Amino acid sequence: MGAIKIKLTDIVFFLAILLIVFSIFNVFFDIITYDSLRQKITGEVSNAYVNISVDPSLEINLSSSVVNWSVGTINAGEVNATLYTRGSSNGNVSRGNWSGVNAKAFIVENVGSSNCSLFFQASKNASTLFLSSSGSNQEYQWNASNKEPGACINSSGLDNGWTNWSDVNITSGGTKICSQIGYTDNMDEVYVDILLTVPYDALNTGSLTDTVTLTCNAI
Amino acid sequence: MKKRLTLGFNLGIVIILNLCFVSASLGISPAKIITDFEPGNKFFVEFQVRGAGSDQQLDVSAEGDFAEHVTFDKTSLVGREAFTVYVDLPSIAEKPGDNKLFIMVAENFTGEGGVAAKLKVGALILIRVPYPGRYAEIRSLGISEVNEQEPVEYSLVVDNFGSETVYVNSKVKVYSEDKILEVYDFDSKLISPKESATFNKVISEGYEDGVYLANAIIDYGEGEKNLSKTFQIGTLFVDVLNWSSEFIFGKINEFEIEVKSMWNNEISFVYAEVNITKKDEQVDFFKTPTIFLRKQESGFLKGFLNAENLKKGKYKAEINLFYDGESSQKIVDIQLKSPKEPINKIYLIGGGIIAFLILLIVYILFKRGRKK
Repeated sequence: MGAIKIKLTDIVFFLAILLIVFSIFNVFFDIITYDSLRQKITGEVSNAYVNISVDPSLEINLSSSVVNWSVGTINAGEVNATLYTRGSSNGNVSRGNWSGVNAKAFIVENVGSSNCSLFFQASKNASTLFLSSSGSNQEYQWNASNKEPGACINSSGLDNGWTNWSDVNITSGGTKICSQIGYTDNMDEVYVDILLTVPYDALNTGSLTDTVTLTCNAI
Repeated sequence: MKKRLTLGFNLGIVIILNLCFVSASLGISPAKIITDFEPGNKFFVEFQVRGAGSDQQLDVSAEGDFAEHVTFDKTSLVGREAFTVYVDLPSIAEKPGDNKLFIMVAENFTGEGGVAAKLKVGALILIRVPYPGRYAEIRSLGISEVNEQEPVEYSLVVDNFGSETVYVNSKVKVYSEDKILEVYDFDSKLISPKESATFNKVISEGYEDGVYLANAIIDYGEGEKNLSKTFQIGTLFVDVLNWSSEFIFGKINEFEIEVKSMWNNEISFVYAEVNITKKDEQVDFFKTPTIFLRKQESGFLKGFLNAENLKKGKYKAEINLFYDGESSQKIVDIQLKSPKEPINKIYLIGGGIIAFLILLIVYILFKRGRKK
């Protein structure tokens, strides 16, 4: 086995590749520390506030207006599958292969300058959404919780463990889910989570959709 | 055989949602208007839509009390438009008291894929209908925020929501730890329909510091109403609520102390001196910059613990607060621990070494290949 002769051009070639690799790593590192990069570029500081006086107004913001589970099926041998959102985390799927990546809670934020009452109304209930032939193994429910502590004032009944779910209401006006959402920053966001139990014998298949209405009334 | 179900949401929509995270906003201004009911009265209010996207289709409607007596200059809007509501009140109101008329603005769209949400906001027009006969309510109970032994002023505002003049007697009961402390009788006053009156009383001797409950009671001839409110009498004391308790040895660490003023005035210069001790022997000392605290406000004092020459283990921190010629002290436990390497740096260095080795192997193989 003879010794390998290394030319100067080979060394330069190797160093150039090495430089490219380290440049890529540098870019990668800046991306994963995006927040600090953004502050360096824009001067934006997340906890800086400008306070101005305005007329009382009512305004709400919705983080995302769709909960989407994509395409999926019930696992073999199961009579239903349960899908539910869990605040800002990915949605949970049991006994099925739907994706929870785009299934996150509706986050309602009071960005106005007055408190309001929040109501939730669906267009369909579990029966009209799935139309189970046996009339069982189907659920369409909601759950409300504080994203920021104290957002729903005097909200001792609000659930943060995704254990207390209520059937959606399709009657006009819907269900009051919070009597008073405050508008103080850091105390003005609530989660509205959705739970679906998909029955194996649903007569409605294919693309299933529903439109819910989130109403905020001044108080 | 069980049916395999595909839950809604065709592939095209999924791709769009993955690329575009849809959010929405909707608002209305003014949020609330209060008016007294006058038989046959006509009035109009201009509203402005806020927050909506420039091409968002919106529907306008009225809900609640007197909704059937409302007309609009337009019921369909696009984006942040203004619109006018005309209210033509009837000659007779069926329900006395607060009547709530909501002016609703709702997004108009059909959701596609999954569970879609649309927003709806309601501005409140509160129409106060007089009760037949004599009826009054307490609008507010004001109590001055003062310190121990300073005069306390009570201010009670009463509205006559009845159709007749009322003669109102009022008093305030003050409780401390669920026990009645004092009962103060206020002057009696005549209040005409739709009018209000203010009842004031000053307690010159004041109270000791602490939390109290005031319960105002009015008697307007046909019945009683009451309203409660808690209030705090201040004392010149700043308390330590929380503090940093874990630090890294071998470096300088930030030491944060959360404090709360119990004083009902501003305190301009609050600072802390902190002694760090081990077995009663001082190992470090630092002083924080001063901060300003408003009445009953919490704030953070920040200093630096020099642990460059300290070993890991448990220490005592003696926190001495100084403010307005007074001081308070709290002795707490703190702990010095080993440093932890940031995880992303470990990955970065490891990844870099692996990439370097792979490149080296590829290069050597490439060289050998060329030799052959």
